[in-house]
Amino acid sequence: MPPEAPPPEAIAPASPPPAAALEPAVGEGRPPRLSQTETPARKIALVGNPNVGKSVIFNRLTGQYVYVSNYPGTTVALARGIAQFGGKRYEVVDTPGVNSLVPHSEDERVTRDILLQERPDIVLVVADAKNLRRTLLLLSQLVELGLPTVLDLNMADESRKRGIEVDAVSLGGLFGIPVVETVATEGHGIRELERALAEAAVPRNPSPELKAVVAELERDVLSGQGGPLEMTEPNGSALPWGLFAEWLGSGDDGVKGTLPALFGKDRVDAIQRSLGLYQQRHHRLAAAAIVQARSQWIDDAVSKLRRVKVGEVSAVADRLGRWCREPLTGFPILFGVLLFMYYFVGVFGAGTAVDFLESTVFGEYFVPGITWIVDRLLPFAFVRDLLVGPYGAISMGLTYSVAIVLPVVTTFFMAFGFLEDSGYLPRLAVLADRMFRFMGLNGKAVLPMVLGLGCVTMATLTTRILSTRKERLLATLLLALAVPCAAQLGVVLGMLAWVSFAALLFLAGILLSQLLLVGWIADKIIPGARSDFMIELPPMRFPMWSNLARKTWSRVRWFLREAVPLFVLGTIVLFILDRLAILPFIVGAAEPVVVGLLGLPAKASEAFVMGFLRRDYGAAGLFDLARQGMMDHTQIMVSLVTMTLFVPCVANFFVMIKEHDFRKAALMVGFIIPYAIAVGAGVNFFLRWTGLEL
Amino acid sequence: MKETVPTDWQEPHRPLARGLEEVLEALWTEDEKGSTRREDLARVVDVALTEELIEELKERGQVVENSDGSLQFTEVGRSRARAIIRRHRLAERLVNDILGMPMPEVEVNACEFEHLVAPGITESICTLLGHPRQCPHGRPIPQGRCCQEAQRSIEAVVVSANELHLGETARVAYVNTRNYSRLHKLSSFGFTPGVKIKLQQRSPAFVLQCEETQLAIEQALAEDIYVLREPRLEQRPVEPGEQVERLR
Repeated sequence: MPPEAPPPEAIAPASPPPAAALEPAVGEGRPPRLSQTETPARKIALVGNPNVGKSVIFNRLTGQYVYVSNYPGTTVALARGIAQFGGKRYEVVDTPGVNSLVPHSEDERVTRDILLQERPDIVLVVADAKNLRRTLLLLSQLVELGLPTVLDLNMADESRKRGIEVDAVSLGGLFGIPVVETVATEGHGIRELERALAEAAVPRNPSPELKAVVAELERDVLSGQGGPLEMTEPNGSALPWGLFAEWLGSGDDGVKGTLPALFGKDRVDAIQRSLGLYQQRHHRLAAAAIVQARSQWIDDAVSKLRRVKVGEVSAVADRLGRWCREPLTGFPILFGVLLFMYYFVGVFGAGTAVDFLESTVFGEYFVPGITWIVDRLLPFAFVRDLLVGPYGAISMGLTYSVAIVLPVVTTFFMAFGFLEDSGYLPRLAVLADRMFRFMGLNGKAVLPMVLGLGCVTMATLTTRILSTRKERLLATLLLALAVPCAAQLGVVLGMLAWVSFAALLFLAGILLSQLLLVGWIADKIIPGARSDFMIELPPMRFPMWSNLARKTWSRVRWFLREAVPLFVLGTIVLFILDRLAILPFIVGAAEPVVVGLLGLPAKASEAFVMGFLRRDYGAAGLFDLARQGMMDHTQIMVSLVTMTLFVPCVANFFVMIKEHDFRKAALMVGFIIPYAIAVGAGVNFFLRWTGLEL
Repeated sequence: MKETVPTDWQEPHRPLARGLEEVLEALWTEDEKGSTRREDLARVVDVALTEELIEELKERGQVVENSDGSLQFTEVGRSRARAIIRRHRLAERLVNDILGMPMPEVEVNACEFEHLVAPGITESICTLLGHPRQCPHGRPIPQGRCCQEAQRSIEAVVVSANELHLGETARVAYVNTRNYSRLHKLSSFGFTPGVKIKLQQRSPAFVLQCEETQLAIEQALAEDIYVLREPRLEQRPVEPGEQVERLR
């Protein structure tokens, strides 16, 4: 035990803690409001560690009435649904998984903010029955919020199989809340859970040591200098003093920023002062005292509530999990995964599905049909061209986004979701940690990078999972520079098929080396720090199809909402540029660079300009040129290198501005464009000078 | 400075007056640097180096004075100084490693500490810290009995998690970090003092198993987690060729 523990009498308050304030509204285990039937739908928030089956419980409770939306101001997708049981309607929220209520990521912050702001009527804590320690940690923080709670020990079958027995009755007694065991994947225990939800009770704090610290903090604030501040929640319960100590002690600026908004600056300042008093008195942070008191209490509780017998371990899943993270087996597996993605996304998605949608559905029915209607209803040349002409919003924009890009992106999101739910990606992060550390990032960055192979724009939004501002900036830059998205990749692979396999390796080599080089340099230039690499490796599981479907649908829907309008808008911009004869002007201006430096045909300029609207648009333009035999192998290579490194698409640029600011986004693009051209020119001179045939 | 423990070495039980101990301590550190001149000694000692103090030390048979005025330990004096230094430097390690205090505070606290600690406690602290060889300043910590016994049976009892053998199980003793958020993150995954952890992988990153949670962390973090090794040899998996080396 660390010797920093002060003697217990140092923590114990001089007078007994005001227990009523700490345990608000417990009543006789059932809050009075429950008896009122005419209240509107009560809100249930599902809270729990990651990978404990929250989503499955959610699906079991809500059935089909589900809507997914982003939490305001974030990219964190939240599923909300309506549940009906026991003759009542409930609104159910599935919050992102958290390890503790002290957030270390945006996901975790969303969960905390939902609890604080929406103050759900019932908190349903979903726990992995095997993992009592982490469950107790979360519960011991939740008690401070004073919200009626139910504990669900999920995956009870796995737990039993491993010989872990938890005394659910005593556990419930300890906190004064109902506890049920479920096996959500098989639907066991759901009825019991529904019954228990009607009996949700405000939990009590079962640890005297924790209570003592919290009471001391409360006394300091209430007796304090703060003046007549309102120091209780609207429903009369005490503020979460202990959590405040942890929030303010965690030193995370981004998180601290939201507290004044939630509680008022005066209150936060008063609490901050009382934390200072505590620190002066005890020579350590109140947060440290809380963490220590809690972990001692948890140790004690675990030893009382849990019995572990020798059980069996799912040997196959364990071994597979190990193979995925150890280099010797991990890299061959990674190769296999990439091959699978290539066949599923590249061959099936970009080939079979696109062919069907583009040539058959759009080419034979949809576009001719619309053209027919437009011709009848709006027989004006301008409108006709705008909608169904060569740069038409429907004939080009919609066909392009829905018929070509959508199938590629959908299959990619399916494959990505599969990898995500299987538990593979965190193991890939382990393999990739070294490489990313070279670029000032850590293994976690592999997640946005892999997602970037699907859609760079969405991946840029996902960089929020990275902890520091520097990491987010680095990842955004590298995504914009060197990661080709699925749609672009499809076109690139198609073009390289005409050249040679060596050309593919050459291109991959250049992209990878640029990624490493720019990452390495940017790491040196951009101020700030890298965060620690710490990632949980969930057990390997076969994904549930229903979850996978929901996940894929929510991403595809995002794509349809965010990207398709941009496609259409982009097409309209192209149309206007074309009409006003600006397009030829820009193309002409770019010619010296394109022809002189890169050694490409003048017509390639057009592809680069379009490339800014959509990267794959540009790639498709190059594809056309190559198909018409207007470029030799060297020119194909040069154009592909330049195009891939070249600016991100407009959508991505907007997201870069949104995630950082206009200045940084402009700086990045201002660096990327000349850099891409320079690398392209370098490749051009290198290939011409050596006469290398690829 | 290479030093072996005299076989009959015992920590002296009755402490001397504080001033005397300070002089002995200073003499030891100066001796390490290779000079025992009176002027140098006067500069480093924490109390005023009066003739009375030196006379008293001579009287008690702790030091002798050379012809050039420099001081030299007697057998008894050296043994006593050794114990003081050992306590002081262990205290520095303790205050620095476990309490995570910055160096200036380490110095002040360690100075108080050295005069207070009983011999039995010194051994416990030494064991807790894993029988460290050097103080935070990099100067050698004189070895005690416990260190020798530990060397015979095992290496260190408390080691960083990154020093565990692959597949070895150990108990978390403490997490040594000044970064509160790091400590908090680890504890929210269940990595708190007292829990058993198992090292599953070392490279490219460390993978630690704690009950039902598997966590991948980088080396720097693994180094911050100090664990108590299971003290018996046969509990550890032994790779071919390894046992021979350890027994030697």
